Order: sequence, then C-alpha cells, then structure tokens
Amino acid sequence: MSPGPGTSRLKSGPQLCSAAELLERCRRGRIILIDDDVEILVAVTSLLELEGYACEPFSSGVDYLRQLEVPRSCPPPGGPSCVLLDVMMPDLDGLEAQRRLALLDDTPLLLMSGASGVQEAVTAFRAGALDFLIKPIEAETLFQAVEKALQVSRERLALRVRTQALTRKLAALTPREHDVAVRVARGKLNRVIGAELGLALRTVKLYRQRCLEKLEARSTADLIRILQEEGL
Amino acid sequence: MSNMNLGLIYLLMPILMWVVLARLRSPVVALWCLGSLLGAGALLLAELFAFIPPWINAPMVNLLEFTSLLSSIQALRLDQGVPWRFRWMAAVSLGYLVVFEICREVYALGIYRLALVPLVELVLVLQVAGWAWRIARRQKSAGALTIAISHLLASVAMLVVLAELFFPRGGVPSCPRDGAGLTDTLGMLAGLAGDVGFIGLALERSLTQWLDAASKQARLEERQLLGNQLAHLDRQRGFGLVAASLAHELNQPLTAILASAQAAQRGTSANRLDPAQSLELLDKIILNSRRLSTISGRIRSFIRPGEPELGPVDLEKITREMLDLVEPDLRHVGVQVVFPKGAESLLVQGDAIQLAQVVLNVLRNAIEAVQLVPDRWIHIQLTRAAGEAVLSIHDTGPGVGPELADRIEMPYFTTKPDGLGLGLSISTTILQQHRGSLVIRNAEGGGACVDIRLPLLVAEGALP
Repeated sequence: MSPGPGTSRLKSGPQLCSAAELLERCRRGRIILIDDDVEILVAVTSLLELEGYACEPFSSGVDYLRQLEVPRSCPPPGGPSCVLLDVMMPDLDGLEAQRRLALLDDTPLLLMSGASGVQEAVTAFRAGALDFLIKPIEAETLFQAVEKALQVSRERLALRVRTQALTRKLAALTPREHDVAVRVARGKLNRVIGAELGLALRTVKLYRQRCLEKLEARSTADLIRILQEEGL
Repeated sequence: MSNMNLGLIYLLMPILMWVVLARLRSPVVALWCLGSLLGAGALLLAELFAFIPPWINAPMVNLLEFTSLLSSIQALRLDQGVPWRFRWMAAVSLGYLVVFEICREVYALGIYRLALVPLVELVLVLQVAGWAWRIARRQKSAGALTIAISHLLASVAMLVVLAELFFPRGGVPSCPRDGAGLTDTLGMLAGLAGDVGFIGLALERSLTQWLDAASKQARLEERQLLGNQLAHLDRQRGFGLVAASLAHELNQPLTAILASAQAAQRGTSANRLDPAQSLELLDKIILNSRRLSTISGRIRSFIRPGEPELGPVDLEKITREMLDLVEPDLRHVGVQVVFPKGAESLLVQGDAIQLAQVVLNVLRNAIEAVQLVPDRWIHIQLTRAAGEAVLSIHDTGPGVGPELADRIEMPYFTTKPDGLGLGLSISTTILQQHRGSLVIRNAEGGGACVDIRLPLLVAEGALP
C-alpha cells in the first residue's frame, strides 16, 4: 500500500480535536512525521496524539520541504517540535531529506529505518540526527526519543528567546556605553578604559553603571558573562 | 577325431559366439563371427571333396579360407579404428582367386604352385596375430593375447606344411590338403582357441563400454545434481538480494501493527478511547496483518527446499509473482512496468520455482540496466508463437555492447562488482532442461530484450 502521488497531509487517526486543544498539544510538542507508508503515518500519529502531542504527517520528504519553502500565511505554532523521518523512501531518500532540512532550520531530527544499515546510521548521526530508531518501534522507545528531541528543541527555543532579549537590550545602549561595555567585557580597568576613550574616570564609572542597569546585570561578573554570551 | 567333427565344432563356434555376443550389436563381433563361419565353411567344403568336383571345390575352399582370414583381420582393424575398405577387400579376394586358378593350371611352376596357399595363409595368419598382439599390448587384453598366441601357433602349422613342401620326408612333394593330418588339426585348434580369445576380448570390450557408459551417466547425474544445487544457491542469492527490500517491506506493516496495538493498549488503559476509535485501531491491525501475510506468501512462492517438481506452469502468473517480489525495488528505482494482461493463459510444463527464478534473474538484470538511464521502463510481453510461449522482457537500459554479446552467457562472466556471473548461465541451463531457450538481443528502439521461449503444453491434459 503505497500512497498515491500528491497525498501530502493526511487526515490522521482516531484523534480529532478543536483549535484550542491543538494549541495545547503544540505547546506540549509538535512532531513532523515523514514516511511513505500511509498505514504507518496513521498508526504512529494515533499513538503520538493519544500521548497528547500534535502530529503532522507527510508522505514524503519533498512534500514537507515544499511546505517549508513557501512562505507561510500564518506563522508556525510556537512550542517545541521535532522531525521523525523514515530513511527508505522512494522519491527522496531519508538521509538526503535530512541534509536538505538541516539547511533550512534547526529542528531536531529523529530517523527511523526498517533495514538497519550501520552505514546509514553513522551517516545520520554525523549529519546531526538525535536518534536512529529501528522499525518496528516500541512505543516507550518512541516516546523517549521524541521527548529527548523535544527537550533539545525547547532548549534551542529558550536560547533563541534569551538571545533575542539580549540583542534588544544591547540595542538600547548608546555608542559610548557600548564602547565601555565592550572594554569591560575584555576585563580592562576603568582607568585604562578612560585613557583609551579619552574619558574621565567618573564618566567611565557612570557609563558602566548604566550598562549594568540596561542589561539587567546584577554585578560586573554577571555583565561580563552576558556580554560574552552575546559574543562581544 | 576326424576333421569333419572338428569342422562341425568349428562351425558351431561362431554360431555360439554370435548367440553370446549378438547383444553387443558390434560390427567387430559380426566380422569375426563371419570370419570363423567362412573358415568352418572352407573346412567342411574341403571334407566334401569326394562329392564335389575339384574344379569348383578347390577354388571355393581357398576363397573361403582367404576371406575368412581377411574378415578376422578386418574385425581387429575395425576394433582399432583402421578398417580396410570393403571394396578393396573384395578386389583382393577376386585377384587372389584368379592367381590361385592360374597357379593351379600352370604345372610348370612346380613346388611354388603348391606353396602359394600356405604362404598366403601364413601372411594373413601372421597379420591376425600381429593385430591381436597390438591390441593385447595396448589395452592389456588377455583375450587378444590368446588370439595372438593361437594364431602364432597356427602360423607354426603353416610353416610345418611349407617345410614339408620344400623338404619332403619321402622325397616326393605332396599337396598340403592331402597331407594335412596333424598340422591341419593344429591349425584348427588354434582357430578355436582364437575364437575363445575373441569372446574374451569382446566381453572385455563390452564391460569397458558398460563401465564408460555407467561413469558417463554418473557424471551426467552428478552434473544435474550440481546444476540443481547451483540453481538453488542462485535462487538463495537472488532472494538475498531482494531480502533487504523485503525486510523493509515486512517492517512497514509490523511497525503499523505495533504502533496501532500500543495506541489501543495505552488509550484503553487510560480510558481515553471510545469504542469507535478502538475498532478503527483494530481494523488497522487486521489490515496490516493481511499485508504481512501477502508478503510472506511471496517469499513462499520463491523458496523451496528439495527436488524440482514438474507440473503445468502459468507463465503470466509466475511473472506477476516475481514482479510483486521486486516491487519494492521497482518503486525505489522508479521503474514503470508495462505488462498487458494476456487474452489466454499460456501453460508450459516445468518446475514453477525454477522458471520463476529465471524470470526473477532477467527482471533483476533489467532493473539494474535501467538504473543507468533517466527514462526507466520495462515492457513485458507474453505471446504464443509456433507451439511455443515467448516471454519478452524489454528494458530501456543501455542494451548489450558488442564486446559483451559473446561472453554474456558464459558462466562466471559478470560486469557487476558483487556478481557471481552465474545468473544468466543458470537461467539458460534451467531453460534448456525445460527444452526452452533464452536469447538476449538489442531491441530496435534501444535497450536489451530477453526472449524466454518454452514449448507450450498441449491442449489435452493441460489442466491438472
């Protein structure tokens, strides 16, 4: 039973849910499932949705990539997500799909395969797959792998949120404050900074205080850590 | 013992010999028996000199003796594969008869007139002994040795006759026929011993032939067995090649079954499924289990331990079964297969699994060939032509290069790095055993075309 061409997203298994519920599911985790076998899409979708995840099935890697490439009318729902990808597929090999996906975004990737080729697994891991699941997959194994992938996704999301906030805060600094902040981060003494920028010691201390306030740092050490995190 | 009695025994001998050895249907035996028979005839005729006028008796006896010895020599020569021409033998016999008649009439020749017969016979007897000796030495045959010794003995008898002629005891030369006595008896005993020796030789020959035939048969059977084993190995290999994709094929429904079952289990235990949802999951489990059983059925249709089983084989059916078997590969490579449904089913007599193996080999080759080109098609056609079913498998691959055309059917010839090079040769062998054939040619529109021809099963008894 192979899916006909053009079958992209499928109405999935027993779980039908409202928009509110879908939002709730997406908060828990969104799993993009790609397999050329409709039966597997339906069955695994049922299993994942019963666990309270949101599941988006695709019958080929090409379909999913196409959907990623067109600009979306509505932004993708927030919350963690991961891709569960079959290796053996006719029109786009799982490993090739993995390579192309990696160019587009950093969603954590899980691969699954029926015939477990060591070479395939090695290639997949080198290309950054989080796990390589052998079909048939035990529910527990699947949930553990999915949870691990979602955790990675969550961390990446959190990091992105923090980085975005920090960027915003840095943008609030005046050029002079920025110059001082950069030199503080390099561990220079106030006196040296004053000499370099042609500022009085008092002015340097003032700018430094403002930096601490604007970047919401508790101490100089904290300031240095934040700035280093931002790569300054 | 009179010469008459001895003559009768002499006559009995070739007849007995023929009775014993006729089964061998050997021209050598026939010639030797003929020789002995002619010799016995000569002897009996000679004994009847009182009743037959000498002008007919003497030349007849001599001619018979001459041809008798000639036949014996010819028998041994034929055995060694260097026979004389019969026309030549007839001419020599006639010539001898003429010379003998002239000698008999020309009294001026004196003693040489009488010496002609024993001299010629001595030469011929020595010829027999020589050929027998040659056979005995070359083939270590005791029978041939007996012939050689007995004929040497006979030649001694001739020598005695000649000696009596040239150095007569009574001072008067006597006609050898008249004074035969002991020497003739000795000659005839030698002849009998020669016949016994020949029976031995012929029996040795037949035993050797029988052993040869038996060992040839054994070799043939061994080759057949080896052929079956090779075919079985090739089948296992062919199956090994599809096994990887079959493993994937088996895992797909298994994955669906396991996921559905575990969804049902978890959903039911957590009370999160309504009956309709449970039923839907169970339906999925049943559906995928059936999928599994079709796949395992395909494997069963291809793997069988043991002997070939003959029966009516539907070529279209086995071709479709093999297409099912390679279906994952076809899908993976992206090959389009065209195989129009036949109007009638063409039945051939044979072993379904071996024939399926041939079809699978050809299909696998076609799939590998089309991978080299972007336009991937396999056209299959099953037609009837002059009492034969013709299964043509035509691919759109690069075809067969002229440098490969000669070698392609040779065992162990392969262009594939991991190939054994036995597939095509085994296929050809299997088809030959089914009185069919396999021809690879380049199709007009490009690509290779394999024609598998098999004799059609006749209409009567076509159905089991």
